Amino acid sequence: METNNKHQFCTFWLSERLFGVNILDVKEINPEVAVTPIFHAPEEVRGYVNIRGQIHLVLDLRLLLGFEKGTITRSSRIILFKPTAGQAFGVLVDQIDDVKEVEEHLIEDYRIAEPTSADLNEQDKRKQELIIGVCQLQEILLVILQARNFLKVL
Amino acid sequence: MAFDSSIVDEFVAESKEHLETIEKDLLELEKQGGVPVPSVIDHLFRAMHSIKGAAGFIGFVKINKLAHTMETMLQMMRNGEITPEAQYVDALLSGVDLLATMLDDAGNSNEMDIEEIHDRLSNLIAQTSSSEIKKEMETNVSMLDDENQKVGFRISEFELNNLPASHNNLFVLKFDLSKLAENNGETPGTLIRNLLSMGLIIDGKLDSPANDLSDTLEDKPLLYHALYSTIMEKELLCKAVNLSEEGVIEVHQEDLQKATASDVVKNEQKPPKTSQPTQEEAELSKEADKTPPPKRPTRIEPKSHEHTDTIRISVDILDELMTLAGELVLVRNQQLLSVDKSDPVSRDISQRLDLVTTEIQASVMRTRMQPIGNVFGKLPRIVRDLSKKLDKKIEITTIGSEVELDKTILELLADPLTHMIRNCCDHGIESPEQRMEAEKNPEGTIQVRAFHEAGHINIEIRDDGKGIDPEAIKKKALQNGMRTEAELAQMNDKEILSLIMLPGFSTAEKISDVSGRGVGMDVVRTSIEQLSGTIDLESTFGEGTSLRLSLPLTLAIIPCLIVESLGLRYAIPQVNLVELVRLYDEDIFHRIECAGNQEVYRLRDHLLPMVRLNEVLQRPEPFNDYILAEITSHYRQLAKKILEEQNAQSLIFSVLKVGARRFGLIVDNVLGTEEIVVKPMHPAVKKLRIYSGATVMGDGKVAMILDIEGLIQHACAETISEPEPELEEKEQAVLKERTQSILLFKSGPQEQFAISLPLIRRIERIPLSQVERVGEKEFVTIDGVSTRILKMEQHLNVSPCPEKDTILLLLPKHIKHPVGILISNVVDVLETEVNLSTDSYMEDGLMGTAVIEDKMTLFIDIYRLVEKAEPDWFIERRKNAPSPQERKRILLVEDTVFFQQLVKGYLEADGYEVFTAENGKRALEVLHDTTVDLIVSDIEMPIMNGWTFMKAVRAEEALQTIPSLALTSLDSEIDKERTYEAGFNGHETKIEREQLLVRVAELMQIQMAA
Repeated sequence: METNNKHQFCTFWLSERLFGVNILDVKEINPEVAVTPIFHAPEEVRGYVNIRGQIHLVLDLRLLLGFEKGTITRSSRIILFKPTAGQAFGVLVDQIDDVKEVEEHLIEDYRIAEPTSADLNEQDKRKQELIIGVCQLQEILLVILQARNFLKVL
Repeated sequence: MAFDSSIVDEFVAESKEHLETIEKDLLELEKQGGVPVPSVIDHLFRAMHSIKGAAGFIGFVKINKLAHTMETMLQMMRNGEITPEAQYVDALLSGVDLLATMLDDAGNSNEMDIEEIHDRLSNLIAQTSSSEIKKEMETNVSMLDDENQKVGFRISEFELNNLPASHNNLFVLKFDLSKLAENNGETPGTLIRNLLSMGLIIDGKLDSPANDLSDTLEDKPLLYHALYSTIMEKELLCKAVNLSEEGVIEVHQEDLQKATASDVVKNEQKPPKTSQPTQEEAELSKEADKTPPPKRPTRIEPKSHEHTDTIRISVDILDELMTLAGELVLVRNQQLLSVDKSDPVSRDISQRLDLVTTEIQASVMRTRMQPIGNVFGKLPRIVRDLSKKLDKKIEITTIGSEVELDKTILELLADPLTHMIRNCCDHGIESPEQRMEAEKNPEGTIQVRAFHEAGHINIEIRDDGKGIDPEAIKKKALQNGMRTEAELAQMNDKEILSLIMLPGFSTAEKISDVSGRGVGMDVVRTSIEQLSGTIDLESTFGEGTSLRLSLPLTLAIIPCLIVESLGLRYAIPQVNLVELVRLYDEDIFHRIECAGNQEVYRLRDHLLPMVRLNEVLQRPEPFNDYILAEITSHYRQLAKKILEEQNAQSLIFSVLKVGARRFGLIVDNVLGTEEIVVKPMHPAVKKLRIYSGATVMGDGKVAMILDIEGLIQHACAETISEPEPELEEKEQAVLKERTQSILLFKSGPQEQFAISLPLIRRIERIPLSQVERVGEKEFVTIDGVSTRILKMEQHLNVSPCPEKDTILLLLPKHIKHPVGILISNVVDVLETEVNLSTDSYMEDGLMGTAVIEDKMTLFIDIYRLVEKAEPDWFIERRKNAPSPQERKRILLVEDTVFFQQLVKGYLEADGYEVFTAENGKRALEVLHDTTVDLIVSDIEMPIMNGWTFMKAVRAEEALQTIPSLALTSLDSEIDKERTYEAGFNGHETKIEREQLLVRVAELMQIQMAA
């Protein structure tokens, strides 16, 4: 593996754990959390939000990763993604953190088994698709997510 | 460079717009016939003139030449020398087409061949024009300026004479195009527009050192000279066109010199002839005398607004504007909250900001919308050309041209729509002869109609042609191996019709160049589906075809009712809305009733099923009986409790319609109506059927738009599973416990008879002469089968039917042998409550009597009557029927009193002992008390339906082996499957007596064998 190959991640907190997504997929972070619920939609769909006249679908990243549904607080934010990651959508996170730069060789592959393996239950399969790696920062473990799969696993 | 591609582009776009109006006006002229309406012909003329002028300016000589000739012809029409007959309009239209082609590749238009059409036009002009005009056209006028110098332009006398009467000033304008931009920031395009708004450019020429326009170098002057006629005086014109006095040379009409065409050709230097005292000259000076140049300062009035009423803007810019307008709304809202309301100045500003913002938002939203008329406008031309080609007479009418559609959709719609219209003309409408034979108006009509419905834009194309023959389609589908015979047998007519939208299907017997190459309707369907629309085909063979497109609005703005439920706002498209109803206090309990497990409200004698929006939203799974019952009982109890506590309460619901269905939607609150912009659902949630989209409300929050059709399907799954249940049917189902549809009729003069309508196939009117006698029996041939005529007086103790020239035969359903009952006249068909009684009068062959409309009415037992008349037909079954001694016991479960009595009668007549129950729950109780040999049960019943009942029966060990037969009006395969799954041993359709009794006997055998 090449060294000195650095990646930047937009990091945030979910259920007191630190996660990150490739910053190249992120369009913006928005404090607008007035989400209109969409009844009948899967529960991971938090609803619709209007960002400057454009309607975006908001997913609850906690539920997507199998955590408990959280409450919206003052620190809650929506991370909106570029079209490269999927059409007009964002995810709700508990709190936003810095952009962190990580050298590629420090990222460990998270995938323990093939995503198609029969031993995995639904939630694990989903995690296999969402989590692409982990990285030990000084004090805490950063879990790196693939934003492009957020909509796909719905 | 003065002439870059942008000016050419602008010329092309503008000319195309003109061509469109020209085409429309021409067709209009032809339709009107006779002397053209001045406004139309003037409009046409102006448009053609603009094209000519601009083409001349840029140097597109061929376009200029063609336009010129067309203009001449229009001129003759304007003068009333020719009337807009087909031959002229044809020639002009082909000119329009050629111009359009040339404009598509304007750069190379000078190389195109226009001779054919040009000659055609010129010949027509030559044929008809008076010698005078010909002379005028051939006579060129050369002109001198103030210094008696030739101005370098030559126009025909004809053209000169036909300048608008008010244009009495002629000028030569000299522009330096390369300086235009520096001085005034003008482009040649704006210059032309300017000029055309004030007068006419008769001719123009470029004086450039370079041969090719594109070679022109920036630093060299590019001179443009234009011969210009206008109403304005020189002084004013100088200001208007920003030229110095030297740049505007007045051409005096008195100085006009004539030279014959031949003279000019022969020798340009030759001094113009001045001594030719012709009539024309006299006329000219006379005209000049008549209208002296006005000396008053004229206000520059734009001659027409047609040049300036549209501009072209990139859609991207519009999208951006739309987004920004949205953002502006949010800023406005924040500002409204933070403004210091006690300060009158800032409050005033804030209010104005509010107003302006709202208007900006509204206008911006409209920018992307275009009226569908833009596409409809092209149709008359297509129909006209096709009808000529096919030698048919076809009239097309369009309705709803003002309906607005998103630009993108509109563009993609043009081709499929054209294709469908071509289909109508080619396959649909017959030739005038065929139409006469079919006793139709020889002129066929095609109607195209656009309208909003259910959050969609519908376009209906209806023709009154020959329709589509389902048999022909079947044959074709078999031939092509697309469907097997068995598959076809299973399909109804509508499904068969939809086959023509499969790829490779064409029913046209011969392939014409109009349509019928087998790449027709499937392409249409694909393109409509790409727009996520649907297409629906209906046709009555011999009467016509109707195609219905339903397109989503995507960005369309629709008026909506905004309601509130669960604290959120929802938009209901206004097209679905019928009315709003509010109920107070005890009405909530009393007026909302229960029919089965469905809440209903009786609104002016119509039963409306009630749906609660909050319950629909909170239950993602489609409603079933259980859910419905749960909701109904919950709200009944709630309403009762509140009623008992005497708390003030109110309830509001909106009456909504989808197609022919109506229902009431109970909401928490109604907030008002609003025009909203529909945004499509995100792909991840698109499959949710209760929404058709979302919208951003004024305060920046998102609200969902309800899809009313999806909503009703979600809320009333049971009633929707049947094919297209009309509201009437649904109401009927609700009411069926009490009422029956019956046919009242007479045979003899005295008695009134009745029969249940579902038992009748039809009533046939037959001339007496067709009746044949065989011994004592009478027969008549109906549908190629000899049918036995049954006279009631021969089998019942009633008065005889009087003999008439034509007789009426009532043909019953579900009888194997063809038989018709003789009646004298039909009294009425009505929906009424029937309380059959056998006490007052009874005889074999009757079911009983009832009082209908204050008259005693005899209800015929049609099967028994037939059996009495032809006992031989029933011998076979009699053998299987149990002997009376065995006295088998049957439990009959049926909610409709009428059917209960009917079936009970049949069974008892065959010697069975019958127990009855009106629903599954009751039936279970009966089964616990009594042992029976067979269960015959209806499926659709209140409280507990047949399926649930049978599952409960099979769940009990003691009852597992009792044979059972479902007797129902449900006859789809799915329903049958459910019936067998539930544990029934047989499924019979209501109500064929013979079949029923045979099945009952069979099932009894099974039981005995077991």
